[in-house]
Amino acid sequence: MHANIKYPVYGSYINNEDRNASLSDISIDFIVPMELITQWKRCGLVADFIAYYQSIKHRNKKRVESILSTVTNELLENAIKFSSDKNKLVNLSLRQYSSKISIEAINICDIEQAVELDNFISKIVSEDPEVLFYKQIEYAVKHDKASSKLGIITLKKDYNAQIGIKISEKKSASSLYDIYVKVTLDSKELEGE
Amino acid sequence: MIIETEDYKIDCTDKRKAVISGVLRLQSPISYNEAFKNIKKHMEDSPDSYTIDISELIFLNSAGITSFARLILLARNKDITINFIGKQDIPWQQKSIVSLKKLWEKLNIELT
Repeated sequence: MHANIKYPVYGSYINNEDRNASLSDISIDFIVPMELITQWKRCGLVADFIAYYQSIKHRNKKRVESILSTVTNELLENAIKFSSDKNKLVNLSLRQYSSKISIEAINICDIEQAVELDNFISKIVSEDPEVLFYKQIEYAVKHDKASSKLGIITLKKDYNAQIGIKISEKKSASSLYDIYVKVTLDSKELEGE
Repeated sequence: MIIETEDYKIDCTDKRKAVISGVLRLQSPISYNEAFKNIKKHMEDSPDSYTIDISELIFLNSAGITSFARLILLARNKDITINFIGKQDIPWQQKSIVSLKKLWEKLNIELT
């Protein structure tokens, strides 16, 4: 691992909690061409589809669909913005466990992007999500930046989501990294119970 | 002044109020500058208050939340009241728009 990466594994990936879950009854994997950066709307379409697909088995369908679409869209937008090669692929998956749902996006980035993500992890490790949210808002407004990672902070703060991030150097190409970002939502929170 | 695409509509016909509806998931805060230019102009011309109706805005991404924050900070800089009218049963409004409250004491959020 590159010396500048201080947090190769963060959050829910540390204990690999999902591996211990007793139930895994749905798994959908999407491969989304990175060229969709020029067709941005497809992020929302994929997010809406996944959300609708999953929501039909929930009691509060409308609410679940809305939240899952928001979460999935943020993950997908984040993966696409932080990919080094627009011709590479993003892998998106949703898995349901007995009392939670996790959505994971995997993409490939270069060392600069990996270090930027690593710096972001150091912030979420050390700061309260709400404090960080206002800092990032002020920063993003001041700099006209898209890369404030506000989406991930919002998911953590507003949806009580568990966040997991993993930065893994690719064996086949040492200057490239696999980036895993996973958001885990509690089913009760999702249903509004 | 109305901006309308197949995804969203921003109606600024009333100079004191914007009505935003549909789905707003533009690529970056910069992309929102163009979409919100009439809102910004009317806010700058407003003497005391401005209202944004998002009751029919189904989705807004984080770049959009940043752009709403920018409008709220504009209101703060001008010392004018800004009102958001939304819906309680739209989860992102209930969760994320309310969290912008701390940015400006004269921000009123009414979710019905």
